[in-house]
Amino acid sequence: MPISAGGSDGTIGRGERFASGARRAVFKLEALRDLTFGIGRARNFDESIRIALMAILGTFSISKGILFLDEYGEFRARISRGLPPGVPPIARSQGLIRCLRGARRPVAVAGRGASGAISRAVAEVARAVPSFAAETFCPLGTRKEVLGMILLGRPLGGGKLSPLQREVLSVMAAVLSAHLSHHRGARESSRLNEVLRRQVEANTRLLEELEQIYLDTIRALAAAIDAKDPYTRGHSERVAKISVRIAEGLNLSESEVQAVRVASLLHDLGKIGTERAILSKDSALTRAEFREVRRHPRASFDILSEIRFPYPDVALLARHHHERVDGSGYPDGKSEQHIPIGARVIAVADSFDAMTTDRPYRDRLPLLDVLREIDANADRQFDPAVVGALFRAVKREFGGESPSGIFPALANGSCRREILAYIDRALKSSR
Amino acid sequence: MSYLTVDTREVDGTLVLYVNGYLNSLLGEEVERVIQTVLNAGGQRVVLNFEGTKLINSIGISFIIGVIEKLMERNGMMAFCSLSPINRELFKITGVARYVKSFDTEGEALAYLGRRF
Repeated sequence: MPISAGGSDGTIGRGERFASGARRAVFKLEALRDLTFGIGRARNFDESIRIALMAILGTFSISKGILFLDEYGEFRARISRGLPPGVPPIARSQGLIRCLRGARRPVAVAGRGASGAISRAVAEVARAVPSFAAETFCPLGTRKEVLGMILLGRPLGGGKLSPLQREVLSVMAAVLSAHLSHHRGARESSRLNEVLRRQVEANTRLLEELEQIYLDTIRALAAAIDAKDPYTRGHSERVAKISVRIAEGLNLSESEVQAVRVASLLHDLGKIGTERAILSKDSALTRAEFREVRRHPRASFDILSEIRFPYPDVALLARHHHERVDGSGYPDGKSEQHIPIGARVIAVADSFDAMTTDRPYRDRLPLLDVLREIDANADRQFDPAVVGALFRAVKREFGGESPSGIFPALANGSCRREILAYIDRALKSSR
Repeated sequence: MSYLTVDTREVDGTLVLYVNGYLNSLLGEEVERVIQTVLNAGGQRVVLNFEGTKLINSIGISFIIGVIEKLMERNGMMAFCSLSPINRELFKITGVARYVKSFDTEGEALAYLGRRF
């Protein structure tokens, strides 16, 4: 809207001087609006700073200007106007930083407000771009950070910017600085996000490796226990495999499955204190020997409870692997749900492995007989739900639904069809 | 390539450029590009016809000043015509009027540039 007192035909009437002053003020306000909206509507950062420089130059009728940003340890000419491309960067000298931090207002390069550092920076640019004589030095920054600067050439018609014009410039520079600071913050946070993402990836890998090393260590320890008794060589490793298969079939959580794995590997750790002669004896044990053997779950517990495992209740699972659901087991005579589920799993897997391998007092049994024996003891010695999970795991391998990993090698004379038929009957009757 | 185009015509070696709409960053860029092309081809005289110009903002002024500089570097000449009172005043307060003469009609502007060369 015309502020001018002149008519619509373009003639200028009385009050011309006032109207012209008002029009100037309005133009400057509009320029501030152009700058703000231009920044906001720009499609990308480069366009936003180009528009900002254009709005500033237009406001003061200046044809040449360079916008420098503090990037990569120097002040880079990110955008220039009215000049050939290739303006070199300005060194980030202490003196220049000091005066950018100090007076955050535009100064005339030739005036008293300009420090030596500013003059040197301007001279540096003038040497590289002889066609450019900077008249005004405008710092860009916030209370907290130095962001860059704008060098402006002389206004159309020569002369310097008036104090009032420099005041307007400082408002425009503050708007631009807020934008630059926001952009820098956004860029920094996306960079940090990237760093964090990589760190998490590296940590995850490291954790996986550590977990593997950890399990390998436990396996080695388990092998050492088994070595004490030639008949139980590999027992812990096999019990662990079977237990994990059952635990997964029961839909236990990831950490519960890991606890079952580790407790299975270490369930017989307490046998470290049992005499070798008793363990490898091929005749019936005396009452004293039997009592000695029955001490091992509690001994396992005593050792394992000193260790802080990253999985829940490992020591307790080892302690209770000889409990029976009818309450007649040892060491605590616990029954049913009072026995941790992981221990009920290990109990089945432990017996299963004992029956499918040769022992000092008998040869290993055919798989069908083993399954019958276990089924016969469901509800007395074993948790029927755990027995069901074992049977389903065996069925999956024999039926070809999952890769045959453990069980087919243990058939020992039982034929596949018989086994599948038996399991189907057993699962049906248990339901 | 900008989606905005400016209408132009050539009269006896003078480029007449019609600034239609809003002279802001988008149209300004196109005006600058067209004039640069003419200067590169050896042209020296330009008339900017502002009859269809709705508004000139500070960024538009920046382009006008850029064009003035370019023409002065090449000893070229420019004239404006058909300015609305508000734009005429805008050129006055921004100092642009001191460098470029404005005429009421395109004919007068063309005659002026023709006389000078």
